[in-house]
Amino acid sequence: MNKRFFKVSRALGETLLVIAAALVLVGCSRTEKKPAAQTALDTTLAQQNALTSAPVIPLTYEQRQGKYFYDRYCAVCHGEKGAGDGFNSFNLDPKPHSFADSAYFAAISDASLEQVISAGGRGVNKSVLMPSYGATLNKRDISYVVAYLRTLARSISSPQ
Amino acid sequence: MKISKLRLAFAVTSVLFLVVLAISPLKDYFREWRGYQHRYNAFVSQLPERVKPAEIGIKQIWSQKLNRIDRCETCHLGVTQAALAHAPQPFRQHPWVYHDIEEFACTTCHEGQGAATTTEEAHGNVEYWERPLLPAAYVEASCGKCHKEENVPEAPLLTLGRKLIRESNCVACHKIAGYSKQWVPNLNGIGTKVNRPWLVSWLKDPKAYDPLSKMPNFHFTDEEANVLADFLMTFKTFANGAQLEPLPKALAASSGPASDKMIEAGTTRFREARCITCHLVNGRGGTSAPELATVASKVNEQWLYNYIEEPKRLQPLVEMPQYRFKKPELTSVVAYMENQFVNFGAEQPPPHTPEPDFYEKGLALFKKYNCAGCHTLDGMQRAQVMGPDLSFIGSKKLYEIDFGQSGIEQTLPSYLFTKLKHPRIFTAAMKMPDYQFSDEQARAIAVALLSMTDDPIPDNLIIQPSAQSTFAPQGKFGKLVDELACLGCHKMEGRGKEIAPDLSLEASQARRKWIEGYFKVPYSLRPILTERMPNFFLPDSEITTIVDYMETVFRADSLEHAVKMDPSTIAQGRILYYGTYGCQSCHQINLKGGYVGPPLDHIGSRLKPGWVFHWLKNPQAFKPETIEPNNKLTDSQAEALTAFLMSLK
Repeated sequence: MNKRFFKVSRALGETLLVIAAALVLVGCSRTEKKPAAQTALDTTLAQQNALTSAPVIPLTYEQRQGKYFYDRYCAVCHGEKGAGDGFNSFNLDPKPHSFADSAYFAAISDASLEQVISAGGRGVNKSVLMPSYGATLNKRDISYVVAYLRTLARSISSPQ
Repeated sequence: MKISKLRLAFAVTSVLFLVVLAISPLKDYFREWRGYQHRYNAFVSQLPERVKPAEIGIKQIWSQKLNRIDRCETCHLGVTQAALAHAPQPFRQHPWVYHDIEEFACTTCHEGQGAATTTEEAHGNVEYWERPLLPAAYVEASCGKCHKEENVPEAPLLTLGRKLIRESNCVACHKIAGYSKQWVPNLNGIGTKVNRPWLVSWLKDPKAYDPLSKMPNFHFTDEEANVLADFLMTFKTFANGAQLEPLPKALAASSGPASDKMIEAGTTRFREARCITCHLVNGRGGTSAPELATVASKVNEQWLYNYIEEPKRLQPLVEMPQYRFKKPELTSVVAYMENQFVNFGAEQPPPHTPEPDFYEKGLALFKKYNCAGCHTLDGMQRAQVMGPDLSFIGSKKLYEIDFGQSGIEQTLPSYLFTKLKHPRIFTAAMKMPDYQFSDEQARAIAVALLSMTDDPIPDNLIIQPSAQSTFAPQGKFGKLVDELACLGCHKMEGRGKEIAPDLSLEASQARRKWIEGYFKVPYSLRPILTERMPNFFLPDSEITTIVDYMETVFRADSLEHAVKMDPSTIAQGRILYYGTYGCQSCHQINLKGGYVGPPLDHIGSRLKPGWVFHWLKNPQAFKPETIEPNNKLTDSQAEALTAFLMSLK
């Protein structure tokens, strides 16, 4: 019995030694300087992992579609980030709405926003300077734009 | 005693037998998807909206025409439930898409193993399943399997990828179905055109000279760049044996009052000619031609003079217009450029003696990197087999890919993305040059490549690119279109680029007198644009040729529309303009209003009433990408508005 125990413990000790040696080796190789190509690849890998795991794209499908229309039709006046500061906003009186006023903005329902976009300012007794897009965009497109507007309101009122 | 032992054995085996029999139904009862379905039913029962709970059982979509059976809906139970638009996965509603899910099934777009019934297997992350779930960032690749046209507006990443594949001239080395070789400058006469130190630095890093250069970086060593430059400098004769004319004597004097005056005149001409519509100067200007900031330190003065005089003589098919400069004007432009566009910080290169065997070594490099794949050089052949055939790269099997020591995730999207970002990372023998793509560009190209599969798709589902226009004007007008490179910016009858307005209906749109005047003083209709019409300094006879042709061909009689010009209609139009439709938010009249659209002062002298009427009725019919909204005007409203606009002479 004793003999066997001795044998087992010796084997165990040997194994431990080997593991320790391996660890030391790994430690050594870690300290070696990485070649530039490897560093570049690591960056790509990190981007890849960020892409394939967890949140892929911060915007949903609807919001991304909305962004496409917003950037094209709305951003010239309302600004890229929705602050009401598009390049053409300086020619307008009254000024285009900023979506930064999140309290005011949150109080407006999706349906009324869709109404403004679709019928324009004149359709809701506001400034005629806001054109109507009801014949240019379909209902679904307009709902996408509203979905994107909501993300603008968030990003302006809570800057990262 | 003996009997009881036997009984015991019998009892034990019976129990064992029963247990074994129970394994199968139990295994079935504890299947993963059942858990999801029970969780789904528990989830929807808590919702304020009524959502029908799922019947327990496998659910599948059979797309007969695509021959796919997908059981994804067994767990993704809320795919068609509007109330579950914000539910957690796997129960969330599928966003609206252009295709009926019942008809097209799931794996057609998302890949994965449709018939499998465990998450791991269905998502395809198992051995021997070649097409696992496409990461969401790459999913547009699936659109491209059927939509073969270059422009798919609903799939912007795919569209960008296809554009980049075309512009980067990937077909120079790879076989890719549906792409043709792009025009690239030919190298005949390069030894006469550029100086050697510039060529070495260009070969080392093209983007250092021109950040928008399409030429990739081959990561040549100093020795390679020097040898290749020596080799290229031996090619002194131009295409078709063109000879350089001698420089005018006026250019010999480099200083003094006469020279200063000439440079001043050249500055004016250079600006009038709007060179920066296409060329960058210190990073500002158009993007369709090379950077000019230090061009005088790149090319030989005599070449520059001859090239501006007649670009296509030295560089056939180049899209540079042939300006109608008179000799002294041309001389002054060259004097200005030689004075201004110099790399003042350039170091004097050390004297260089070519190696004795530079020609052989240079030729070997020229062949090794398939320079002739893009550039024409007399006597050089394009390599027949270079990079792999990419026609079906989207179906490439993983075991065919050498991931080398890269340690990246072993999937096709990650391979393509990494390959585009670091073309030579996988094995030492790789020769693909570095295009320095941004992450978005690399992802877009990967998407476009992934869309090229050999999946069996019925012909009636495939949308082929529309046939290319064969419009090729002949005669005097054709020669002018060629010399002035009109199609480098404008579209005519479906041919040409989209930098400037489509001219196919120009004569129905604009008045003859205005077009004629525009060639003389091409002002910008939209001041915010960089790309503006250059002044070609055309003689009257050539302007007449162009406008005569336009009046005959670029018109549609259906666009004629007479409009009454009485004061009351005009007054009504004014109210519609300012009061009802708020046109002033985008257009200026008398410096009041926005500048999204062109200013409308004098529009009555520029446009024809029929065009304005039809445009107002439906702007998108003429220019699908215009942001002018369709206001659903009635005929009488459109007529009144047209009358008001036409009154602005």
